[in-house]
Amino acid sequence: MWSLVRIELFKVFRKPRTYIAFVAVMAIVGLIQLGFYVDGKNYLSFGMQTLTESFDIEGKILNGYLMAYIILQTLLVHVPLLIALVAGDMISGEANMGTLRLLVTRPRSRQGLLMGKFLASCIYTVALLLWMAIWALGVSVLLFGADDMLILKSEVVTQVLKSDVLWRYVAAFGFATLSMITVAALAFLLSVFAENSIGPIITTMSIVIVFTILNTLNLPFFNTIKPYLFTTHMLGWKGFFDLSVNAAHEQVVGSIEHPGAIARSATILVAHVFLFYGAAVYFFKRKDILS
Amino acid sequence: MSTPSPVVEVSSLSKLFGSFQAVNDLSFKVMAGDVYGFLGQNGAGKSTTIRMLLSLVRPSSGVMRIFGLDLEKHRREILSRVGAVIESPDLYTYLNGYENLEIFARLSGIRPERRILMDKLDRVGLASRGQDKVRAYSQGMKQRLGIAVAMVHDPALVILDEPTNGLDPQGIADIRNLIRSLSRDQGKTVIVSSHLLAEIEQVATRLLIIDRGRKVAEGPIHELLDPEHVSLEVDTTDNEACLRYLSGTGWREKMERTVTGRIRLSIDAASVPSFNRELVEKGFDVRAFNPQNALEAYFLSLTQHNGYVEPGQDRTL
Repeated sequence: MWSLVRIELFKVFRKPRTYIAFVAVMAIVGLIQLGFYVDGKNYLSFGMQTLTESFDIEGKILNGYLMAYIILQTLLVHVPLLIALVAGDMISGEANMGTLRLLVTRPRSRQGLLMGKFLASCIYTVALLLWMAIWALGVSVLLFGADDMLILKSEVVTQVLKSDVLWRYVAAFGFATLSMITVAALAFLLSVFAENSIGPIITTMSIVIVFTILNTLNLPFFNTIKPYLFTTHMLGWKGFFDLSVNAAHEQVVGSIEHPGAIARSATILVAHVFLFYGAAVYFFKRKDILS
Repeated sequence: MSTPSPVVEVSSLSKLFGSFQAVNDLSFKVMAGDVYGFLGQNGAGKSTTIRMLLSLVRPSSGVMRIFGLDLEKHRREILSRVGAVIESPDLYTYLNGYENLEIFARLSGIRPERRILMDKLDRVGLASRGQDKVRAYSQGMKQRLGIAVAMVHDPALVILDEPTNGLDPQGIADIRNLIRSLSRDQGKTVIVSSHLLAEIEQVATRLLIIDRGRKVAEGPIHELLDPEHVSLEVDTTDNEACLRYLSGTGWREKMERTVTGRIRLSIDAASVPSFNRELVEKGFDVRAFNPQNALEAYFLSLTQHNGYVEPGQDRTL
């Protein structure tokens, strides 16, 4: 199996399109950082106007940790596209090139070939998220410095201590990776049915966008299906930045407010990954290779 | 003398795509050492059959045994001894020739040394271009690399589906020589499909002709093709009058009108000069007098009449 994964990784990282995603992440993160570096203080002071009227806030609010949090919020917007770019091309790209038939006539099981490709997609996803973490967190800390992180929500302000934040980011990026592997699995499944990669990429993005819109609509019918949509759970990483409070209404360092909700979201995402991958195997094993 | 064992045995193979019957109750055997020609018009079912032999397409019914093993149950074992070029030689264009070869060697379960791979490239004349990206290759070079990829694991059975597609005359001759060499020098069994009759005729030892998914003829090529018979296509200045004349002679039994208005006859080779003389003596100005390729005539006779012919049966038009 490892030899198949290595072959697939070799192919993935020899394709120019693979690096589009890495350049795009660098560009998007860089632009956000530039914007905040130039005008971030004004932006934040405007946003915190009501808070600063009542509280005296000391320290560096615009710091690398907050920047990483802001950047991670954009995860749902552009990273699925970058993931689908590669995962959606895994089978359909080979069909389009005509190499799929060469692959399938080699003494490997179809399931093995598919597993090799899927694992390569997952490794690519991990690499991309790692790259994003380096830029979003590492470079942001270098540019903006490190301090306690303030997260403003509509009704509460969460303060995460500097000493308590790093493990949360490790967990958050881990969760984000799982979210993106779910997107990769979806694109991978759609790739089985297509003869070129445009279809799976566009369809994956359409599904992500439509599901995300459904999440925002507060209608009874949609509310019943929301818990089952994978997009509902893709932002579950935010839960790592919600701290529980004790009886004295003080935040407990090192705690998570709703660990069960995070675990449930993670389970649903994992279930989606297995569902999508299982369906891909089912259909690919029965597929007539005519390309 | 021992009888060669069948390398490929196909029984009652059928494939339906929706309501379209691509292959219909096809049975044949390929013996060890054969160069087995697979002939049929475009859409006759050749590629579908070959794809089923390579487990790319699932048959609707029928049994395929290769090397004595059931393909469905022993797919990996069988494919480790089969090499194939299927239609156009599509490879990873963003990789170089050497990398393509290495990938498919590894996929075939072998860990080749660089020296061995370079030797494989050298055999198809690509050693000096091995480091070039495949996208820079000509069609002929891609085809040769495709053959190197098919042969990288030294298969006992080589399946070539339309291997001369898009090649120039030199490329076609190279493929022809390669097929002969595979069989004669390396003792491999080769299945080669083509709609190019002359190509098959020059390399095949046995022949299968299919038409609309059905077998219409099978057998050793020297038995199927009777050199004593030729097919003549004749064009005169007045074909109508010529036909009227011929219909009152002994030639009428073997005569037909082609769709282009010419006259076609299947006659003994020895009768060709006397037939020509007779036309001239009767005042018909002959514009064209074409003895057709033996295989072409035979192929057309079968695919137009669509009946199965055993070797040795009458094949007159």
